Amino acid sequence: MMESRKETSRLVLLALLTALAIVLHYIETLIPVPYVMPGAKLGLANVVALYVVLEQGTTSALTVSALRTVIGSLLSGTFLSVTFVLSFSGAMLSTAVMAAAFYRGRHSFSITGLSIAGATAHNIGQLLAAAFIVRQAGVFFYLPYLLVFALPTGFFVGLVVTRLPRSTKSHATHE
Amino acid sequence: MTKSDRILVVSVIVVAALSAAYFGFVRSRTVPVVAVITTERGETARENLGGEQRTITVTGPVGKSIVEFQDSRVHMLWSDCPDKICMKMGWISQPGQVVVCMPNKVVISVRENVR
Repeated sequence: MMESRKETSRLVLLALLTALAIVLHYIETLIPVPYVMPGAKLGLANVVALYVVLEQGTTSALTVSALRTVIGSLLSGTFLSVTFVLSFSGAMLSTAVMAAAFYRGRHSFSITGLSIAGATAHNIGQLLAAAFIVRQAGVFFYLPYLLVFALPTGFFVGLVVTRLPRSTKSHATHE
Repeated sequence: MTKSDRILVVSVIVVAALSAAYFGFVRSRTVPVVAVITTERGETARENLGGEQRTITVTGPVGKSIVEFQDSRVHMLWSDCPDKICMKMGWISQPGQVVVCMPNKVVISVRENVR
């Protein structure tokens, strides 16, 4: 009885976090990028991805990120388009890298460090997908710009996650 | 910032600097350069930079892409894609530089003419 209640509240929490991630994903599309750098974004939805990694584990985080990109693309009408493939690849690699750095890294990264790792992984995932789609390694021309851009955005997302209320059961390091 | 954080940030900067240096090195050599336009079907056009102002039109999954050549530079003059990111990427002229239109799967890349 208690077990099933716990499972139900976990499902509800994940559903709410997914909804939040979708809204952040959508808001992000409304923010114009100051200068043209394909794939350069603030990564607001990464706030939720990192939070779920910390609080609910790898599988939940990957599920939330997959649902977020699929439902987000359905809302913006880009499902299965190139845009969707890029955002899906970036989100999945980013979430996987943050989870690996957190659970394999023995808490050696701060929350901000995890976020920066996720932001850079997001850009690398996008570039790999882009290079695969157009069958040209030339797209890696944008790698240095994207990596430099990922540092401040990853830092910002990390700051946000650091300030989120955490449940007592998890032991992630702060600072 | 933990020690791992600092290692991560430093390695990101190093990788960014090395890749920027690589593309800088590629473009610093003086050899004739060409613009190669590739589509889903592979290489579609190969044109020397310079000469008269002219355009080349190629087609992709979402429609037409018009590439304009002028004053030893090349850019995406028009694209039927929804986001127009490729058009906003501006002019390119140095080997290693690319303009990519993801929706239309068109890539303009400037290269040294080795063939």
